[in-house]
Amino acid sequence: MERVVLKDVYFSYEDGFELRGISLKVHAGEVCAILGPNGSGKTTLLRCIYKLLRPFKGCIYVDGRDVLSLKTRELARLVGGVPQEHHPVFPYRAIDMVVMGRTPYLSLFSAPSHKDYEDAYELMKRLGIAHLAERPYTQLSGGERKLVLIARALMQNPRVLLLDEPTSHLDIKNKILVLRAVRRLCKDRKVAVLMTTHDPNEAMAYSDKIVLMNKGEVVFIGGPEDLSSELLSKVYDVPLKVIGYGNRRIVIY
Amino acid sequence: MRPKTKLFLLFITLPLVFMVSIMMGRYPLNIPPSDDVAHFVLMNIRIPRVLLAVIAGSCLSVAGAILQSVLRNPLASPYILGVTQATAFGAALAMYLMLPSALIIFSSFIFGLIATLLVLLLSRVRGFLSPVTVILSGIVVGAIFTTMLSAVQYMIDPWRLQGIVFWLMGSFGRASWDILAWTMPISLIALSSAHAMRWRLNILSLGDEEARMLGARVQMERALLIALSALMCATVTSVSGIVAFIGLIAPHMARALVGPDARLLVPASAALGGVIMMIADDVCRTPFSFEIPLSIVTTLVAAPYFIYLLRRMGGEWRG
Repeated sequence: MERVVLKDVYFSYEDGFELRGISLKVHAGEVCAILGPNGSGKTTLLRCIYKLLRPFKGCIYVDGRDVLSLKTRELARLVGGVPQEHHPVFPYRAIDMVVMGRTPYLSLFSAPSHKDYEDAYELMKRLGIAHLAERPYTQLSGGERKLVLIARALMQNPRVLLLDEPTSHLDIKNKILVLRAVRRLCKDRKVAVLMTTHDPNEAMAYSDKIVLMNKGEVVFIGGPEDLSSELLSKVYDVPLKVIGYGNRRIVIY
Repeated sequence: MRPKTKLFLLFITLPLVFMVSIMMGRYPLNIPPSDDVAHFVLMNIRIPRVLLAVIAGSCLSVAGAILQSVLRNPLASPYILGVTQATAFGAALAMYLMLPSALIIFSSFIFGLIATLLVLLLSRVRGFLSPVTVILSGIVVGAIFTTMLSAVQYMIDPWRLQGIVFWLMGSFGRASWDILAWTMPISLIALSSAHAMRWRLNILSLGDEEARMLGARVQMERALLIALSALMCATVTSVSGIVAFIGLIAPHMARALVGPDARLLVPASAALGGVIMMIADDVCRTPFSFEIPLSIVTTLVAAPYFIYLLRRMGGEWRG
């Protein structure tokens, strides 16, 4: 089942940066890595799906519905997201942050219920971060924060999960922890995951589908096994080599 | 102690301080009052005055809590919107025109509303209401009304200048049932709306994009909450004059007590604002035969506490 469909999406900022004719499909239970060097338009693409940016041409469908026709609240029930950088002004407890994911189901004049807090705690337990529940979010480490934000996105009960550079600033252990959690959730809950990354190894190890972007265009869509050394070298503008290692493929330089 | 217990204790303190406050003053009273004079003082002077103090404290404090969240700025207070300065100008203008006291309050309130609208209109840049534009518009609107206030102070004859100066320093001396008849409903409606919308404060404080990702209609909600706090500020200051510092410090004290979660912070700010204001007013009217202007007390008490809080927190606000 197609969860996210982009058809020939064009976007342009005032200072000229663009997405040019992006088309792609992501299915339920599929992890799709949007791979590309810095400034290739990965984040812009995610922001278009969130409706934070409006493409001037082309259509974006989530669960078969045009995102531009959806209200902010309706969209937030379909699409959950983990932003790249995050600096809250006030030191909310981790569990409060997670519960904030329930907001799209609340009216303007209501607050989350006791049940919402129980759900949030359950979710944190399953992600292995229940011990952080009472800690101030601002005092957590980078990896813990990412997991809290992933839990928050899941509280939205989304069909689609968008992760913007989920592993930036994380050490290897936390990286693996976060990516494994994402993959497991994707398969268990049948959500479609789109995550951006600039690291080809990460994309090859943890995704079912790779969308390689360069200068606002998609230059490759396919499985990790089809990505070639030549294409990667060209896009990253540096000699790269894809080699087999056991049943995995890794990129060396 | 759990934050919820602290909130509960705050709400027990409120009526206790209220009872003590209505007994305190230059004319000591017992409850129930012993004679007719005492009864009169209690019913027509003390109770309205202390009630007004509670309302004013709660409103200013909640307005501050709202603004700190929706503008994502721990330094925000009702003063930042320029509404306070506008109410001051409105009152001064009415005094200059020698209008009766009911019209002084009315003029003050109207100018407070005008400033609210001005700030909301000016801060919309290309249909977008951002924290920075709100703060900048507030500063500009505030500066305009401060200047016009100075102009009135310059033109008015010295005998009446004193009235303006006293008004600028705040007092609950004008409290009466007539005034409460309209301030109380407005404040209660505004406070309960703020309470109902308190969850949005958490969401809006995350920043525009994240709030949108969580399904908030950021522009509309922010405008609504700012309008609400401006209304509370205009209502209170038009009656009491300028009360310094409460709107900034009470929400911070509340945050230090119950943490930053707005579900507890909003009621805690309301209760704490009310308690502080009652105590401040007791200090104003009890020890001397004349009344000390309110802002002198609130500033002299609040400022050192604020410095203490700042140092204890190491510059970082946490719960």
